[in-house]
Amino acid sequence: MMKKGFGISTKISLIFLALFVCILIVIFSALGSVFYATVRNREIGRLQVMADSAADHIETYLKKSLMGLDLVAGRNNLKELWVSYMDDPRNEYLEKMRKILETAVKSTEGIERIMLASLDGKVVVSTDTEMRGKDISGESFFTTERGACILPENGVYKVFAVVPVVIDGKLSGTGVLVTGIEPIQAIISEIDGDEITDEVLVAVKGPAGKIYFPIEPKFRDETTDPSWYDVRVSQMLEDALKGNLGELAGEKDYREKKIIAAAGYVKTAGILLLAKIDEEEAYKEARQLVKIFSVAFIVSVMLFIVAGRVVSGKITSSLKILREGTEIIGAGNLEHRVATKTLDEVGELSRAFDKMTLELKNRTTSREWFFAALEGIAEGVILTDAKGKITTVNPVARDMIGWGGTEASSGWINEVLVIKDETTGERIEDPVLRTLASAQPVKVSGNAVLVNRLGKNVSVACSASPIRNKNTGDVMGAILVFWDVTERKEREKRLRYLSTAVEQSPACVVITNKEGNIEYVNPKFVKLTGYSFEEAVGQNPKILKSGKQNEKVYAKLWETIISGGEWRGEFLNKKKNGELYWESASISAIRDNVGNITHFVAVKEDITDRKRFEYELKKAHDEVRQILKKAPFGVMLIDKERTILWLNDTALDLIQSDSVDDVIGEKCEQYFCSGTEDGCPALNTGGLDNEETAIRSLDGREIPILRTVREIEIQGEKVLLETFTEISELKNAQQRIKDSEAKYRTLVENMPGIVYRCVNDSEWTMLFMSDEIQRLTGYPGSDFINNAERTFAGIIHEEDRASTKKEIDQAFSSGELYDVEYRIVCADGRTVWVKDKGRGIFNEKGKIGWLDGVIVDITIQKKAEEELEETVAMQTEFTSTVSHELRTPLTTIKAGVSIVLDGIAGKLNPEQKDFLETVSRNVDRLGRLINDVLDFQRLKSGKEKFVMEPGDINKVVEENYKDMQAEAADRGLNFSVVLGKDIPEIMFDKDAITRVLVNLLSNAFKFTEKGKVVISTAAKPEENVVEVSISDTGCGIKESEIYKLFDEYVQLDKGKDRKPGGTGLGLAICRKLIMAHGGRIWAESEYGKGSRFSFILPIQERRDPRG
Amino acid sequence: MPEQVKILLSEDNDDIRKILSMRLEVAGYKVLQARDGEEAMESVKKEKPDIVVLDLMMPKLSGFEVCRMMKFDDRYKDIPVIVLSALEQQKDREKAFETGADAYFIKPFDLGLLINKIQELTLQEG
Repeated sequence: MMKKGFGISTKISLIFLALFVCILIVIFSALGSVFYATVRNREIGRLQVMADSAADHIETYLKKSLMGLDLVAGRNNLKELWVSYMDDPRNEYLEKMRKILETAVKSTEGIERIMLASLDGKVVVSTDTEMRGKDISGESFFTTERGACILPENGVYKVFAVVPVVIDGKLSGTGVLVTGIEPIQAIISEIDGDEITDEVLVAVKGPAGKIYFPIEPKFRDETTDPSWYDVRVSQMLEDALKGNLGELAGEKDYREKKIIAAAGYVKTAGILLLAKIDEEEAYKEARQLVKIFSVAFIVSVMLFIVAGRVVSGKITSSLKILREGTEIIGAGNLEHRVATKTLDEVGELSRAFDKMTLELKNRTTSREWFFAALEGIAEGVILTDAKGKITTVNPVARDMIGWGGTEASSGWINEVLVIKDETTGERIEDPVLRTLASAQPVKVSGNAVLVNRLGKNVSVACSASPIRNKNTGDVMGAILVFWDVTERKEREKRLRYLSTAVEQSPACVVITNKEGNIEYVNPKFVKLTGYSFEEAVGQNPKILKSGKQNEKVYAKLWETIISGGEWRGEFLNKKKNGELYWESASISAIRDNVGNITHFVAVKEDITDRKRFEYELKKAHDEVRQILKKAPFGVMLIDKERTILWLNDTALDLIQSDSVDDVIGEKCEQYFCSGTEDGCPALNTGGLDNEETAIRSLDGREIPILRTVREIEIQGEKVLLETFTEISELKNAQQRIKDSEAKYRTLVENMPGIVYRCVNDSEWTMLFMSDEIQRLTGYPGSDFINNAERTFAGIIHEEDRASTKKEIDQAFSSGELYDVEYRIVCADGRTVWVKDKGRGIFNEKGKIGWLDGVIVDITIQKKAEEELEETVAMQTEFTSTVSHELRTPLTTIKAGVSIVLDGIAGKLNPEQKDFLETVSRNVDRLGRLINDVLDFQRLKSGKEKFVMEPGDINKVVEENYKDMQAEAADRGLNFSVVLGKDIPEIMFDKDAITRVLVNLLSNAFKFTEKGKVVISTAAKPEENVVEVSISDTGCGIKESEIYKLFDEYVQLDKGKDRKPGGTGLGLAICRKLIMAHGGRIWAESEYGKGSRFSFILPIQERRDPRG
Repeated sequence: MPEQVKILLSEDNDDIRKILSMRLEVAGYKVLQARDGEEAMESVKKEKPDIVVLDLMMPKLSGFEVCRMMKFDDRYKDIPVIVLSALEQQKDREKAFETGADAYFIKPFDLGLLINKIQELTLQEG
């Protein structure tokens, strides 16, 4: 028998007890410390309130005192008195001040006295007269700053409030208000009460750092050590001055008792207030509570132990009987019964135990039968318990899973049996476990494969069922039966493939029986023919006959298939709706395993579309081929090896070959590229676009062509499609244009002027400009071509730009050539004068397209002109001055001579008179000469301004004729006028023409002694002029001298006929005047017979420049 | 001649002035002389001549200026002015007439013609 130790119940009781005690101790100690902490904190809080409250009250009290003192010290009459006294220390002032202070003292209870002291600390006035004159500068309270303090005076603590006396912003004394300590004492006792528990200590730092307690502590005891105050409170007071108010807990005070304390601080007076309580006092209640708890705890533990012992003894007695019974049955005695009498769980347990023993006895027999059956069965069987642990594996199962019986028997079902889904390869949930879980039979079939221990797959089907307890129906295990289905699955699979192939086939499948009646048609057949499955089955395939097929075909068909061969051919059949269609068929017999024909199968394909497509394709192909062949451009197909595959007629013509066969198969570089074999420009580059090249014909000529090559795909083969066209003519034309262009370019470039073409815009945007521009300006011609940075307008001199542009625009609008002169600023800053001649070129729409012009450098001419102008101007100026200087003395001479001649200065004899008349004539002549010289000079310099107006020349001639008639009559000459008819209006300056006429007529009169003078006019439209002539019958001019006539300062030798009075400038002036009109003057003469002077004036088309 | 006609002769050239004034006095005129434009202007204001003979080119004030000043002044604008000038151009003549001159003589001029003109202009006046 086993050793008797502690019973189970004792063990449990002890363990629980120990645990219970431990927990309680932990809880109590935790609670205790929390409890104490709470109590302490609460106490500190309360004490803090007390300390703060006391501090507040004292603070308020002190402030009130200070304020009262302020009021007193700030009183104007007091200040005035104070000032007066300071100036003149008279007793009456003192008395008055004292009275004022006294009034203040009386008005408030508790004030002992008020003093006013001078800055050096002498009491000047005090309500307590004894104080007067005392020096309080040594007193601790004495200060010039505002504040309060508590200090002992003569051994009694008093409150001193001090304020500075300020008069006119200047410190001039100190006011001191003294009260007793009683009000503060009252405040304290009101706060800490009379109870002995709380106490508020008032600590003040006195002179020399000494700590005073102005109010006697409640617990003060002569025997205790007072040093605690000095050290600890002094420390706290220091901290308070720095702003740290501490608290005390657990420290011992001067009585050696632990206290809890909180501090307050009165800022105004530097007073520390310490509210404290004895710890003993504070924790009194708490300690009481802890004591009660401890007692209750010990009592309950003891009760627990006693109760545990009693209960466990009762429970274990029946267990003991059960244990003994089990030992007997375990030894093999299945007849033994336990039979306890108790009704509790142990009693039930022993009764169930007896029942089990009986069942065990029955089962042992049937079990042997069962195992024998398992050994013999053909399927694999595995038994498991309710948790899936294998209990039994039969031999078939062992073989299939590849585990030995003993190995498998100890394993779990999901370790031994691996079943996967054949298609997904994933493991299928174990059927045994599923059965156990669901308590329902589970079957696995279909795709299941068993993976045996060696990894080999076996298709299986299996079935698992729960094993139930006969009595209770509880699942107590499972049985798994499985068998190999590999072969069956293979068969099924093949059949499914075939069936799918037939169903999905794009060809019609028809199966007939031996008699030729349809047993099966596939969906394609239904779709194609229009007969449904039901309609087709039972029918003969003859229903499809179109009647357009030769009957012999069918006979041959039957002959072939019955003999066991396969027939292939095409039918023209008819659909259900009557539509004809072509099909290609393969028909053969199906035999059974002994070789007898059972069925026939026909596989047929609809080839109607193919047939039609083939026909159309052939037709289209022929057309395209013909088009390409006859296309007016060369077409060639070349393969990757550059072999010519095909070419059209045009290509053939260009190559100058008679036969296509000569060219096809040749390499293309023989005709095209002069390049090497591996340098094909079109291969691998995607092609060529409009490449100009030449084709070499067979006779060796090179014919220029324009070709485009593309890589295309024909029947999966990449080939080059080369198209080309002859461009000989185009090339020739291009060359001609080029030659011509070169010629003109050379011409233009070699021209000594700048040739340009520009847009008629404000910038003179150049389209072309010959390089001569660079020689002139330093800017290359290309600079001006479409360049916004450098425009031609930009280099035209600023002053000339607008006027030049305007002139050109005007020339355009009238359709004329323009001819302008302007300055250009060169690259080096030089200014050059240029002459620009050109015209606007009009486009088809009549708008100006551009300007074509030539620019020539005229700087040298311009300079010469300018110099000339200057010279002329100087000359004119000179002659003008000279003439003036001449006239003045001449005037004197003339006047003087005139006076003498008039006889004013005395009578003259005829000889004197004759001399003076000669003098007078010459003076007149000199005067005329000066006039003529000036006129001529002016004309020569071009300074003369003419007023050109349209007019009738006849009218002017007639007027002159009339004016001169008198003179002619005086001279006894026959003077007449002949006015021409149809003379157009011409432009002339009337004064100038009059001068010419007067001059010529004067000459004619002068040189004509007798005879006639005729003035005539005539229009000469063929020459576009009007002619005026004056002819006389005078002395005439020698032929040799005629050419000199119009020169300056020329007087022809007239021999003895010479008459004075001419200046030699008259005709020269006439010529200048006529030339200024654009006309001409000339003379004809026969010496001794007469002369004829003529001039012509141009008839101008009167054109409005803007018209 | 109930009252002598007063001629103001303004001419900077001493010789011309001397000869002219002598000739005009012989012709019976009272001649006032001025050597420059300013003198001429003063004389016009002071003496109120019946006619003024002005040389154009004079120092200080030119004949043009004297003529213009007179013609702009209501008190003197009716006094005839004869201009003597060495400037023979048409434009000078025109300018003189525009300024208000009544006659224009180019030097050297005919004394007889001048006296005729003076007579003509003063008679109109008279």
